[in-house]
Amino acid sequence: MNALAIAAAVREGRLRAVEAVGEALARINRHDGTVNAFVRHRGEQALREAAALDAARARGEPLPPLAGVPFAVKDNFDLRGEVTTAGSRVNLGRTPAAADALVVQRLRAAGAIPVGATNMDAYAYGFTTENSDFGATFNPRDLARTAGGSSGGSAAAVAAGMVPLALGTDTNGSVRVPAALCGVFGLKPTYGRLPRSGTFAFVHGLDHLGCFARGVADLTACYDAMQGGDASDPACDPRAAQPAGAQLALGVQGLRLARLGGYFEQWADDSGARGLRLAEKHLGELPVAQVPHTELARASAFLITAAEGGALHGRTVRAHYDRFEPHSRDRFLAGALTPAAWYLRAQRFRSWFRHQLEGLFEQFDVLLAPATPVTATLLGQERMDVNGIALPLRPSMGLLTQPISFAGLPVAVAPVAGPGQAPSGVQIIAAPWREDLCLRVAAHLENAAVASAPIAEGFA
Amino acid sequence: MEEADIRAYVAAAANAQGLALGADQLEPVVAVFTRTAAIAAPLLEFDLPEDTEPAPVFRP
Repeated sequence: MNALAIAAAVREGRLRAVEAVGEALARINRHDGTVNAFVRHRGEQALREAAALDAARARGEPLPPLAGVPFAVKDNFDLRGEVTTAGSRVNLGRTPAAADALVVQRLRAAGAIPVGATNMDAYAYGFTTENSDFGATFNPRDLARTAGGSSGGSAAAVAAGMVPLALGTDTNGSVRVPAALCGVFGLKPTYGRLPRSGTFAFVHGLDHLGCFARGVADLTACYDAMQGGDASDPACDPRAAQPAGAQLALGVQGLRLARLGGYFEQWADDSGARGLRLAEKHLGELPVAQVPHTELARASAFLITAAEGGALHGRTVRAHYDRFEPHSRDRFLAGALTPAAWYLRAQRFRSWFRHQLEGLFEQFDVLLAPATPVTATLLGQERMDVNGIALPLRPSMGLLTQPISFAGLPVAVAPVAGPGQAPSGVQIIAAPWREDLCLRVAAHLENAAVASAPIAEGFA
Repeated sequence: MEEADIRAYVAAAANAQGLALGADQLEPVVAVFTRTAAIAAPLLEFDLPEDTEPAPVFRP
């Protein structure tokens, strides 16, 4: 069942919250040995919380909009009383979290119940969720392939039907890449929209929170429940919530759509661009918008990530060098050595690049682009080929997502799969604070059966 | 930067930050830094107007 259907059934007394949560836990027990999406479950606690919700209903209390909906969080969101590992065993000795992450508190206030923490690339630095401490997460749509990353456990848990909703973080593409590769819907809101308080920071200047679901209505309900500024995150804008749920039915009506050309064509092969091609077949041929110097935006995002991530975590990595994730430890250490002049140039270029995009949004409301250069790659694969150019796979899977998060723009990912084909994600990009437009276009593609995220075959 | 310059810079900058690298740790970090320098090069060449300031959060 999807999240809103569960909540409606619980509110109306057709389903008890303990049954909804119990079903999620049973699916996790049945399937997680195959997928390895979770690093921890909170089965008993989750069932107790569900029972409290059922008792509240029995007393005649009104239930909130996501009552009884089980959800998962990437293991860089704090869960009260648990140790947040951020995907590394070097954190196992840390003090348990005193409180839930703020967005988890908000989802709980909406009646949703966290059932566990999911696997990720260590410290969110990676695009494949091949974690040397907790094992790789396997893509439920093809177990030989990666789930994408760094929020791969969350995307895989949703794709395998273990939970209807999951949270992730996205610094350079870590929600959008796994959403595309696992074939689920994902949302990365505007930089500064959601308060990151109680989450494990990687790159303060680029970290975003986001979410995954198998349908746009669920995705939007999850996003709406998390909205609202908070002073505890200094990069969070103080604006009040701007719920998008009521806008979904408007679809693409009145919207000026375009697809991004140039760089965004160059760095997607046939499989990566397939989703966009099928979307365009339905939407009609779209005008092509060009963003100048996108390659420098990617370079700048790379430098800011290296410098801030290295400055924040370099000493920890150095202190635990032999135990720290080999896929990223050298990147953290090299990042800590980035000259300040390079870093600041990247930050200044961010303003310049944003200004170019602002101009584009005078002509267009929504921009479409492929989410990944290629569809899901094999676990253990080191290199990939994009239109004849060989690239190191792990840092390159975010080539198409990095420039967009660098500009802070809101993006929804719609998964598109032809019959028997791997899912291919479409980025649906809007002007700052216009998540509603991203979600409207995603809902339109879903309603037209162009985009869909059924539970993966064999996991029903 | 020449390869030898990068190696010298990485070793010295790591020392300066209390991140001193052992002999077997230095080479992989040099390799990453070399890639980073190549990625930075075109950005450093770009003619960015002097009055462009960093501004991370969108304000409407």
